[in-house]
Amino acid sequence: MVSLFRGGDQIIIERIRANDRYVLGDLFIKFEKLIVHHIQSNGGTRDDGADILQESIIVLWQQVVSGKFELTSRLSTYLLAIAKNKWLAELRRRRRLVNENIADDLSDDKPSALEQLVDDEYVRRLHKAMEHIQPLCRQILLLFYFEERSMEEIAQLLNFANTNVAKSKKYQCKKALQEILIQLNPVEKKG
Amino acid sequence: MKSCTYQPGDEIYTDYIRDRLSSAEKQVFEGHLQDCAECRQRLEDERRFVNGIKVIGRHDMKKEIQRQIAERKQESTPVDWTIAFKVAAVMFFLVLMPGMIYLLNDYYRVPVMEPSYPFQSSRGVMEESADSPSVDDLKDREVSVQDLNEAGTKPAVSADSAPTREKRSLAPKSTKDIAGRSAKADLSVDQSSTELADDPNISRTEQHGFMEKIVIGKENDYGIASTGQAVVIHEETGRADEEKSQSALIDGIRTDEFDRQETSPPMNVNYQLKKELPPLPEERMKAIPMGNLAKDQQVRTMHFVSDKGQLTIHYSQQETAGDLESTDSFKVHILNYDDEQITMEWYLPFGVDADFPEGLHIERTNENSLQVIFKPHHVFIIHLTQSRPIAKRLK
Repeated sequence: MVSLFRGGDQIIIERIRANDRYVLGDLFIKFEKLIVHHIQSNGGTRDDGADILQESIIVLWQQVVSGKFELTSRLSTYLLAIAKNKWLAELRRRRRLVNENIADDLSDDKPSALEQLVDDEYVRRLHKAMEHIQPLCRQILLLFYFEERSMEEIAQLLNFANTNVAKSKKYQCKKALQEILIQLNPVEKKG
Repeated sequence: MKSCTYQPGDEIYTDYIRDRLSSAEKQVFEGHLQDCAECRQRLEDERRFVNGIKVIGRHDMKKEIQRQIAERKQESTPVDWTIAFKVAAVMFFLVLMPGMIYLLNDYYRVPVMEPSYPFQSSRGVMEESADSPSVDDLKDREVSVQDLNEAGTKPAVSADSAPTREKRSLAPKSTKDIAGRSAKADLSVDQSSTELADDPNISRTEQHGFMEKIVIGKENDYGIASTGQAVVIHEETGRADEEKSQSALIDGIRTDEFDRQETSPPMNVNYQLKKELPPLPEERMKAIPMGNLAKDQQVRTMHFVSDKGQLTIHYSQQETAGDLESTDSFKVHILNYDDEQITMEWYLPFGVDADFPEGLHIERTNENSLQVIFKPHHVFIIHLTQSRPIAKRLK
């Protein structure tokens, strides 16, 4: 039976929950050898390994803060599993690029090239708009939409008086962002 | 036109995207979406917005990680070297180091070794004479144990790994060379190995001047590197052993101090359970628990057959080996409607990005249980196969 709580791992999880960003670098250093070695042993380069490790850390972070994560195995095992899955997905993606005629999976609902282009353009404009809003707004939106934290957590992390203040602030920030989006591209409809 | 219940900015759009609605709420909302084109558009806009923020979030976080790594690398770089330290370092390398090397060389010169090689002088310097073979000659033929025994020692090595420091200095071996030799040692048994096969003392350590030969396992399982240590290559074990042996050499750690895990080849099926399920009710998605996976099970194969497609899931539970953990994995073979064979592989525990094909999703419900979720018309029969436990671990 795998122990549910392992000292070092549990501390890392607590640090992520407490929004301690410094843990990102700690995780990278701690697991660099393990993950990069695996990627290099499976046809990847050192850069591929570093990239996959970063992606895996982000997934771990998202899983922890959104409450979907439960520590039932060693953190290294969990991260390695994410990294392996990501690397396999990347290899499949590269294979698809090399030979697009070979059906690589059963999914037929992948976005078309045009849809992908439109989405990329939208993300590019959104990125630009995010640079124009207040840093606090950016933080709120990322905590809510990217990290999927609850309003209670956001209120606590950002020292708001209560959850309602956080909700109201988030609403204002989203509205401000969408207005900037419209300014950047008048065709954009208000969502 | 029907009035809309859900207004722009309602949390329900976000909650729906995050799958945080109760099944009742979800049903009501989806029912509403059927009739409300405007709401469908809002949902689509919200989904695009959330996905966009997530892309930006990931981008920011990657930058943050890279920045932290760069900062820490900079912090760890020594920057405050004073002149005195520099001078001391130069002095060390110019005066002390050569002295130490000289003393060590003298210390490690083992007299008993020197007469054992006819091509060596008493001072340990390579001399080429008409009677003694050159290094190139030695590469072309192997020196047998018997030959060397007659010469007064028992090195039991092949010629290109003759354990003299002169030879090492002439032809240093890279890691790649060693790996190459190791592979060769796996495929063929050289004469020295054959000699050792008759030796009852299989596991032992021998000192030959600089060289320490460590023999583990069967006689024909080793190769000897020219860096002064034996590399143990087990013919029947897998890659982990070979990697360990190589890394042991690289790290300068004796190979006999390593854990060696001997894995047995997959065995024939000794347990089989075939279960035919009744036709599934017409629901959107179905979940079937796949039972418990005990710790001592190495392989479990699940075989799904539908009226058209076919899906085989190969579950492999592995042990931890050294600091490189092996995680449990799934290998899935899918025969799709066009008779195309597709193989996909995932590792447990699944991350959010386990890239499942349409109609299939696998989850680990707890530590030892798996659940396969699929669209009903894809799967009707479950076929479980289990093989014997993983082999014991050797020290």
